[in-house]
Amino acid sequence: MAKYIVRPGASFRMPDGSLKSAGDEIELDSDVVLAHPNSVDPVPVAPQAADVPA
Amino acid sequence: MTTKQKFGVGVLIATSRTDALGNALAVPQSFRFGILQDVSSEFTFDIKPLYGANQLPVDQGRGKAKLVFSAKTADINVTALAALHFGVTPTVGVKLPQLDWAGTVPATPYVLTPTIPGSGTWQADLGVSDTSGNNLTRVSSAPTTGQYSVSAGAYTFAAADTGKAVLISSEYSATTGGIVMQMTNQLMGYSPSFSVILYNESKGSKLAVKLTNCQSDKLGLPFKNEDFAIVDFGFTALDDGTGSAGWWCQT
Repeated sequence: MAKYIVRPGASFRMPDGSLKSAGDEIELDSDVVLAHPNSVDPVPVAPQAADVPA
Repeated sequence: MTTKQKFGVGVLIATSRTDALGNALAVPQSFRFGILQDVSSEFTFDIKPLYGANQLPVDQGRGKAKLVFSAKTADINVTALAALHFGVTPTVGVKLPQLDWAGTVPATPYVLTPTIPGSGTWQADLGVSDTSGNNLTRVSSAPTTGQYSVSAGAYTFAAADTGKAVLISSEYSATTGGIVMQMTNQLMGYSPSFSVILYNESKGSKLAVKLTNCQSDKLGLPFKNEDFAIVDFGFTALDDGTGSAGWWCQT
């Protein structure tokens, strides 16, 4: 599973009955992402600090 | 030349996609239709012919399309029907009738309380008859012969009916032993959706048809004398949001 952010206008029903809506972070399998095109965006990867030699 | 004939009904697997309110399911569930009897499909298009002076059209254009399917299965899977047709999740428990619980009207206070299965709770009366099939009449209180009253599962009869054998039917509920699906009255315009894969592997080749976004528009549950009940599950295929309704694959 990978982490995504729900796009505006989309919503996901979780197994416990709760709802994830626009802006919420969610973990989804790849087949679920493919089944709902244009519903989520990947969570942006935070930039890593580069090791600069002294 | 190799031919590609097929035999048998093959396999139909439906995977839930959205709930009854159109919310995508984060963890979809797949259901293989058991004891599948037949699957019908129609890929139809409206056509608009262009006529000149002669009888046959000189051209025609395709208009609206409709992809209509029907699957008949003898495996009545309420969990699958709840997800695919109603878009709801069943809860654990039972709500059932208890038919013809047998008892004999005792002496005073002339009250019979049927034993409810599964430590369940009496919910509603479904009638009382004698062993000859004659219905007793329900009254609010003070029954006379041939009558009864009921309160919270306790059935009171007339003193004159002491010793009479009766058959009591009622509804009950319990918290275990099955599943219960509510047929929620949803807002118009919403429908659960699901994907379907039809697959037939026979006569030396494979054929698969994937429908990526379907909605059910029909559910039939006919009970027949001297025959099995066959669920008739109808659905149509739509665009899945990518400009496609799915694919065919053949080997």
